[in-house]
Amino acid sequence: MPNFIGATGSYFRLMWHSKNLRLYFEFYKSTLAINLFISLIWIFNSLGTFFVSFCTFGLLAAFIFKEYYRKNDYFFYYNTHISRNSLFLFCFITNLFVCLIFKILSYEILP
Amino acid sequence: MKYCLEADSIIKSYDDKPILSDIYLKCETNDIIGILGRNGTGKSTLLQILFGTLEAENKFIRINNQVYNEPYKENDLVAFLPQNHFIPNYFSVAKAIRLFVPAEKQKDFYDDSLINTIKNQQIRELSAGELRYLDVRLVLFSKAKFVLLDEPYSSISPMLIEDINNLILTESKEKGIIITDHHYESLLKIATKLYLLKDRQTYLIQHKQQLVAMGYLNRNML
Repeated sequence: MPNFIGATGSYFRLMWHSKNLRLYFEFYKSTLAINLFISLIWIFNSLGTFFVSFCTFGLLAAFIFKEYYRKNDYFFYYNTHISRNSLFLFCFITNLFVCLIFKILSYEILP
Repeated sequence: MKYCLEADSIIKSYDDKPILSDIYLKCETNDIIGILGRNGTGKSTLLQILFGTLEAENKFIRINNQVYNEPYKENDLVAFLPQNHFIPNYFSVAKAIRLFVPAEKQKDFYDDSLINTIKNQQIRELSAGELRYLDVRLVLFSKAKFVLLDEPYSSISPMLIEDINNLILTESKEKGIIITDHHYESLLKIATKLYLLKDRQTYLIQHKQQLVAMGYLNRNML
């Protein structure tokens, strides 16, 4: 078990030191505030709708906000060879991954 | 190694209004190419098409005989300074430098009095001039073989314009640089080749007097 944790830690450390991955995560972090603001409204309905919103409406709202108010920021990423589509895809996949982890944990905690 | 960027047959319209038609441009390593033109003639549009982030009805961008549709996606090929500030304002100056400047060039990047003054600040705390200087310096310090600068002198004080011109001259030893700006006097000091964008086409300018003849400057401006 400690070996597994160590290996996972090394993997994430290696990923973190990749400059491009850090850029993707910086972009991802910048979508979180709006996404969570939109999605947390749904948490009162159910945890499931929160997760659906977190991967769809909330994320879409964050992208639309960026498209209207922070469009020039994309040039920072373009200059590091990252396209807008790959940023969107990264955020979507990361959110799916986060939801999956939470879903698994919620089954573990509340079977 | 010398690199050569050629842009040919660029055609672009906005709402059926032609902006650029049959544009030709050539830039090699060591070149500092100035593109002048009145407002709305398509200078920024042209640079964005060269960078690959703007679609055109027709375009042909070739670097060392290889055709690229979106050059910005290729490693270390083209860097672009847009007209407006492009560093996300939720970054700190140090973070922007860490993420943008290649590790081996960061020591040289910090070797500048203004950068040292602002290095501990947030991007949103900088004045327009400080931010523009940081924008320009970041793009010029990239490893790209060609750098496209859209209005690098805007909001910048005369002393810093001198610093930027010196940096452009230094970087042109290993890069090709294309600049558009209305600060034509600063641009004329360093440009090795000058184009005027007029009537949707580029005209190679051989003498300053041509700028008067072609209606870009008044006679008393020279």
